[in-house]
Amino acid sequence: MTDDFDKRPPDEEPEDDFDWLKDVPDDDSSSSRSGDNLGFTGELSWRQDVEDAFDDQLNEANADTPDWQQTDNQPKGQPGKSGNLGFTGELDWLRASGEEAAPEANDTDVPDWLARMDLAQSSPPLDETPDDGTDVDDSMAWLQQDDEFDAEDELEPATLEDDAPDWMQDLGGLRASDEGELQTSNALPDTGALDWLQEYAAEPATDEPEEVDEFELPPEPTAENDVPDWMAGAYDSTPAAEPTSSLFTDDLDSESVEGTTGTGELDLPPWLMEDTPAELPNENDLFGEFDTGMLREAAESEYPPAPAIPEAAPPEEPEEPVVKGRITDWLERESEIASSKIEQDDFLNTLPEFTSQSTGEFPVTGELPPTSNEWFDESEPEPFDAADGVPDWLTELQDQGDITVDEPVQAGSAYDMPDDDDLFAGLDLGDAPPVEQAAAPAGEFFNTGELRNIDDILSSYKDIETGVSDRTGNLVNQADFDMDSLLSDDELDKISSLRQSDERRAEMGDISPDAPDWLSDIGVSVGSDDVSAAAIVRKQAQNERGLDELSDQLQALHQAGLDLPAPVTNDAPDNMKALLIGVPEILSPAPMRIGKPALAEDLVLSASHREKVNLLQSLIATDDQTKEPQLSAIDVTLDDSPDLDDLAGTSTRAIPVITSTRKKRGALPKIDRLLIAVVLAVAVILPFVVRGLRIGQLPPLSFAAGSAQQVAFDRVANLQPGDTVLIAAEYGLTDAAELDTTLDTLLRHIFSRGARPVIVSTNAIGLLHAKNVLERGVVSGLDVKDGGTDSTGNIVVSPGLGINRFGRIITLGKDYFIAPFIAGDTVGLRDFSQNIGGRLATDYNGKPTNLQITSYNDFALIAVIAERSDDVRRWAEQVAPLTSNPLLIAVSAAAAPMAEPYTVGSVNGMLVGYKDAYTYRAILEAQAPLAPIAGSTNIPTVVPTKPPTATAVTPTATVTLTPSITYTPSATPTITRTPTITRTPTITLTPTVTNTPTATATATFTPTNIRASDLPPTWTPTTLPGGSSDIGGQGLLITGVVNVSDAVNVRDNPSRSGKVIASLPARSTVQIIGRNEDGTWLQIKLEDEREGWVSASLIRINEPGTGTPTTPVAYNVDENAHVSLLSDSNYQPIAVNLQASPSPSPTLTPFIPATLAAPAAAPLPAQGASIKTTPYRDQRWYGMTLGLLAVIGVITLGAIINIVRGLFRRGRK
Amino acid sequence: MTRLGSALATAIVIVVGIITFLGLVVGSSLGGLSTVINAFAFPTIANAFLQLTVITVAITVLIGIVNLVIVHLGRVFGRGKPVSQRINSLVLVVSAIGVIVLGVLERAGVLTGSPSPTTVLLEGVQVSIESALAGLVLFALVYGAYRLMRRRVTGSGLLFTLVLLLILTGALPFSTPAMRTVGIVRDWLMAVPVSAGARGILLGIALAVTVAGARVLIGQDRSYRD
Repeated sequence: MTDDFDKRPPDEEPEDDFDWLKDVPDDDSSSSRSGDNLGFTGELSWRQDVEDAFDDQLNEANADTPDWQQTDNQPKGQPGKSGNLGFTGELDWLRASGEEAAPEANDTDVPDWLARMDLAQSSPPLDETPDDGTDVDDSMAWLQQDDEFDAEDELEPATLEDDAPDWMQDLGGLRASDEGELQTSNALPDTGALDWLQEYAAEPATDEPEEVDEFELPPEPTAENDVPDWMAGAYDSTPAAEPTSSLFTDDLDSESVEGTTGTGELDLPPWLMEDTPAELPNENDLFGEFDTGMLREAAESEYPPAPAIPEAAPPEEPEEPVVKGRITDWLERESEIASSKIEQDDFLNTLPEFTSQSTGEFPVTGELPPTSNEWFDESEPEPFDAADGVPDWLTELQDQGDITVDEPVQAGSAYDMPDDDDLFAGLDLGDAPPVEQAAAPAGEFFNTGELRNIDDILSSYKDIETGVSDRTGNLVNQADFDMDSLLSDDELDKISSLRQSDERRAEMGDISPDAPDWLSDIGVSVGSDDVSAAAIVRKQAQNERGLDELSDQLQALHQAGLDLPAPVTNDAPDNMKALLIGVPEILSPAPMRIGKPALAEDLVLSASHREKVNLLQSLIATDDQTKEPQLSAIDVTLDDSPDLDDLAGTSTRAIPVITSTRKKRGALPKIDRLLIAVVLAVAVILPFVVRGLRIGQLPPLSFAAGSAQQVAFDRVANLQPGDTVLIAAEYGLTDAAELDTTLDTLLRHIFSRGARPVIVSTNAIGLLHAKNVLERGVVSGLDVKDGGTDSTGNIVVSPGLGINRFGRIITLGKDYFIAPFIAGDTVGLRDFSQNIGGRLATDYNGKPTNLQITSYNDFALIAVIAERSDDVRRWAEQVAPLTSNPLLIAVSAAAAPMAEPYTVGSVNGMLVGYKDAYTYRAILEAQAPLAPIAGSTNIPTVVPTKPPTATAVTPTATVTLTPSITYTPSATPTITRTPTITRTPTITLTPTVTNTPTATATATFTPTNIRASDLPPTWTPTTLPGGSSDIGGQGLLITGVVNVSDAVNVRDNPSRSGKVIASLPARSTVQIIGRNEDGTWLQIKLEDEREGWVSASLIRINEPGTGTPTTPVAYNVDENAHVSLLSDSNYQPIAVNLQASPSPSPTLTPFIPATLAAPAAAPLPAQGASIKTTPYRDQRWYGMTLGLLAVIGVITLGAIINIVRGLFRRGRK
Repeated sequence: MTRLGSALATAIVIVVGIITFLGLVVGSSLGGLSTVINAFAFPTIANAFLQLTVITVAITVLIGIVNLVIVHLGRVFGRGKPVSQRINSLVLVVSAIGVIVLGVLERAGVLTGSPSPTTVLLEGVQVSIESALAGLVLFALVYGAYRLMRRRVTGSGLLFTLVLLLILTGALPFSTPAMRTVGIVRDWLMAVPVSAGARGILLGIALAVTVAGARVLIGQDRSYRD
C-alpha cells in the first residue's frame, strides 16, 4: 500500500500510469492479510491529521487540484480514472455505465448487500475533483460529472440478451439499456467470474473461427470439440497453479478486444455454446483450475494488444450483443449455480483463489480521496450510504471509519491498483505486450482492479468465515465466526486493543499501523497523534526534494504560507523594537503569565522553562508588575556555568528555579558599581588640583645607560641636519592619549636636530591625527605665548618653537612631509616598500615632495609608533629586512609585551608608554638649545611694534651653570659640592625688546618656595636670596675671618658711603652670604641675623669645612663643569665639579658661591631648537599614580569580599 | 564546468602566488637563482600584483563608503522605518557627506583658515569621543576585576587576581624597599613568562602563516574558489 502522490519518481511516468500498481505486494501472503485490513483499516488517525492540514487551504488550493485528482494528463478510461467510488477497486464497469447506469438494476439474484454494493461504490472519486465550478461540498456532484465524462469517452460494454440469467443480466454492461447503449449495472456484484462474462457479453460476436483454430489445444475428453482449443489447452496444460483474477481478467481483456466481430456476437467457444453443463467448469474450475497463463498466452498470441480497442468498439456505435443459444443455457445453469453459491457464500469462498496475486486489500473499504474531508464526515452517507441491504459489518466499519483506505497516488494513477507486472507475476509472459497496451481503455475493465477488489471482498469473507486474522496471521475468533459478531463491539474492541498493544506497536515500529506506506517510507513518525502536514513537509524537505517535486497539495500549502499576510509591526512593544533594532517585523509577544498551573489561561512552565523566562525577562523589560524580582542577565548567566546537557535537554539534574530574594532596585545602578566609578574618577582627577595628593615619584629624568630607551634617544640625538627620518604613526585615537606624547617628543627631538620627518601610516585616521599633532603642537606655534603670529599680525617668536636649526620656521613640504595613506595593511606596506620612491613622490595633498628617496636606506632613521603588536610585526616583517638601519619602535604599554620580541635583531631602540615619553621629554627639556647651523641665513628678525607684555616665564628646564671660578684651594684639591637651593624665587620678567636682539628686564623676586626649574636657563643671580650660605644643604658654611688687627665696620650697603651698622672685632669669623658684582664687598650675616657689607680686602675667606688653607693652590675651573638639576623637585642639588689646575699658583680667588644674577634681557629668539614644556606633565603622572592605587584598592577589596563570601557559602553548605 | 572553473582558479592562484613569492623573496643576493628570477622579471610582476591588490583594497574602501551611504539613505527614505532610525541614519549620511565636501573644498583651496575645518572635526569630535570611550574601558575593566570571584572562588581566579595586583603594584612609582622588591618581581614576570608566552604565540602564528601559505601555493587550500 503505497502512495506515490508526492514522491513518485519522475522517470516512472508517464509511460506507466500504473505506478500504483507496482506498489502492490507481489507475495501471495498479502492475500492472506485481508484480516489485516480489518485491523488496518481502522482509525485513520493519520488521515485525519493530514486532512486537517489540508482542509484549511483546500478551498484556496481548489484550483491546484492535486495531480492524483486530476484527469487531464491521464487517458480516459484508464484504471484509476473510473474509480470514482471511493474504493480501492477500479470499478470501471461501473464507471462505464455512467450515470445512466441504473442503480435500480435487478439484483435479486445476488445478495442484497452485494447488490447494493454499487451504492457503496458510488463513493466519491479519487481521481477527479470538480474543476468546473462544482461545489466541492457536494460530494456527489463531481461524481456525476465524472460519470458523465467517463461514460462519454469510454467504451460501453455490450448488453446481454434476455435469455441470460437474471444475475447475468444484472451484471454491469450485459444488459442493454432502452436507449440501446451499453450499460453496466451498478448493482451487480463485482465478481471476477462475472466480469469476464460481462466482457464477453459486452463485446460483439466475432466470426473468426480460424483464429481460434490456430491454437493447438489438446483434446478435452469431455468436450473435445466443444471447448475451444485455446480453452482446452489452457485447461489441460496447467491446473491453475497460479490463478489470479487480475491475470485472468487481463487475458480475457485482451481476448475480448480481438474476439469481437463488431456484430455484437460473442465469439464463444463451441463448448461454451453448447449445453454441456456437466463438462463446463464451474466457477471453481474456471477460476481455480484454469491455467490462466496459458489463457494469456493464447489470448496474446491470437489477439493483438489492446490499443485498438477504442477504434474497435467506439461508444458511438453500440451494438447489441447476441448471445447464442447454448451459452444461454449454460449461463442459466451457471446463473443458478452461481446464485446458489452466492447465497451460500460458496461461490465467494472460491473467489479468493483469483486474488492470490492481489494485494489482499479489502477492496470495499474503498479509496477515499484525502482532500474530500466530507467523505469522512459522519454526517455524510458516503461511501456506503447506509443503504438497505448493506451488511451491518460494513455499516459499522463505515461508521467507525475502520476501513482500509488506499492512499491516493500520484497524478494519473488514482488508485492503489496492482499494475500489470503484479498481475502477471508468476507467469511466463513471454512476449507479453507492454503494460500500457494491456491497459487500453476498452480493456481496462479487466485490468482496473475490479476483480481484485471484489476478490478482496470475497476473500475477506473467506477470512471472515474462517476467522479473522490479525496482522501477524493469527486467527481471531476462528471457531465461532459470525459477521455480526465479528464486527460487534466486543470484537472491535478486541481488535482495537490488539492494535494498540505494545507488541503491536513494536511490530509496527514508530510508525502508526494506520499510516500508509508512503508515509512510512519517508520515515515520518505517524503515530496516532503526531501526524501533521507540517511533519510531512518537513520530512519531505529533509529528503531534499525540491518544491516542484512536491505534490500539488503540498505546493498549495507552501503557496498558502507565502500568501499569509505580513504581521503587523506596530503591535510589537517598544522594548522589543528597541532590542531588535533593524528588524522590521516583530511578532508581538503573546501574553504570558507565570503562575500556578491549572488555571484556565496560565502557561505552565517547567523549571527549565522558567529559568529561561527569567533570563529573557531580565533582558527585556516587561509590563508585568506582578512578577517577582528578577535577576539580571549577568546574575542569571553567571550563577552557574552552562550545562550542555541542559541545553540538549538530557540533563537529569534538577534545575533550581531562580527565585531572587533581593528587593527590587528599580532603575538605580548598583551602588558598588557607582562607588567604584566615583573612586576611580576622583583618584585620577584630584591630583591635578590638589597638591597634597601628588604622591609617588616622577619618572626618572634619564634613561638607564644601555637601555633600549637610551639607545632610542641616542639614535635620534645622532641625527644630522638635513637627515630624513621616516615616522610611522600606526596608532588610532584610542591610544592617542598615550602615544601623542611620544610622537610629539620624537618630532621635537628630530626637529631640534635639524632632521626632516616624513610621516606615514597604514591607519588613515592615525595619519591625520599625527599631522595635527605635528602641526599644532610642534611646528605651527600658533600659540602667541609660544611663538608665531599674534593677534595683531606681529611675529612673536618664543625660544625654539617653530624654528629649526636652519633658522627658519618649519613648514610643510620643506621641513616635514605627510605621505599618502598606505592602504592594504601588510600588502600595502609591502607595496610601499617596493615602490617607496613613487609612494613618497607626493604628499597626502598631492603636492610633490621633491624627496630623493629610493629605498629605506635613504632614511637616517625609521621610527614606528604603534598601538598594537601587529603593527610592529608588520613593519618588522615587511620593512626591517629591506633596510640596514634597525627600526626604532615606540609602543603603548599594553602592546609592549607582545612587541618586545621584535626588539631583537630588526629593532634597535624601544620606548614604552607614557613613562618613557616623560623621561625622553625631560631629557630634551634639560638640554640647551643647539647652536644654529653654520651658514644659516634665514634667521628671523623680530621687530616688535609695541613692547611685549611681560609674562611670567616659568621654565622647568635644567639650569646649567658654568661658573667661572678662580679658587685658591686649600689642602683638598678637588671638591664636589652639591648645594641645595632652599629658595627659588618666582621671577616675573618684563622684557623690553629693542631692534637689536637685546632686551632688558627687571626681575622681582618673591622669596617663596618655587621650583628651581622656573629660573631662566641663562639667568645668573647676583645675590643669594634669603641670605643663606648653607649651599646645597650640605651644611657647608662660607665664612671669613677679619684679616686685620683692628675692628672693621659693617655697612648697610657695599660702599664707603654706607651707614655703619656694626663692627667686627679683629680675627673674628663671620658668615659670608654674598658679594657685589665686582667682588670688592662681601655680604655677611651677623650673629643677630642682621646683614651687612664689609670690604672684601679686610676679610679672608676660609676654605669651606677645611679650615684655613695652609698651602694655597690655584685651581682653574674646568670648562666642562656643569650644574644640573637632577629632578624637578623644588630643591635640586647642584653638583659643582672643581678640578685642580696643574699650576700650583697660590693665588686665592675669593670663592663665589652659586650666585644668581638677574637676567639682563629677555631670551633672544633662539636660533637653535629647544623644547617647550609639556602642560600638566607632572599632574598627569600623579593622576595616573593615584588612579593606579585606586584600581589596586578596588580590586583587592573585591577579591577579599568575594573570597570571604565564598568561604561563608562553603561554610553554610 | 564547475570543476573546470575551480581548476582554473586554482591554477591561477598557484601561478600568481609562486611568481609573487619568487619575486619578493629572491633578491639579488642569490647568485644564479636571482639572475634567473630577474630574467623573468618576477620582481616586476610581483610588484604589479601588489599594486593591483592595493588598488583593489582602496576600491573596496570606496565601495564600502558608497554602500554605507546607500543603505542609510534607504533607511531614511524607506517605508516602515522608525523615526529614531531615520534620524540616526540621516545624521550619519549628513555627517559623511559633509566631511567629504569639506575635505574636497579644503583641498581645493576654497576653505582656508587655521585650524582647518577638517582638523576641528577630527580633533574636536572624533578624538574626543574616541578618547572618552577608551577612558570608559578603565571602569569596565576594574569593575570586572572587582567581581571576578563573585560567583565562585577558583584557583584560576585567585591566580589571575594575584598576578594582576602584582603587576599593578609593581608599576607604582614608590621607592620603598618593599616596592622595589615588587618591582623586581614584576620585571621578572614581564621579562620571562610574559615574554616567553608572547614569543611562543608569535612563533605559532608564524608557523601557521607559513603552513597556510604553503597550502595555498600547492593548491591544498582553495578557500578562494567560493
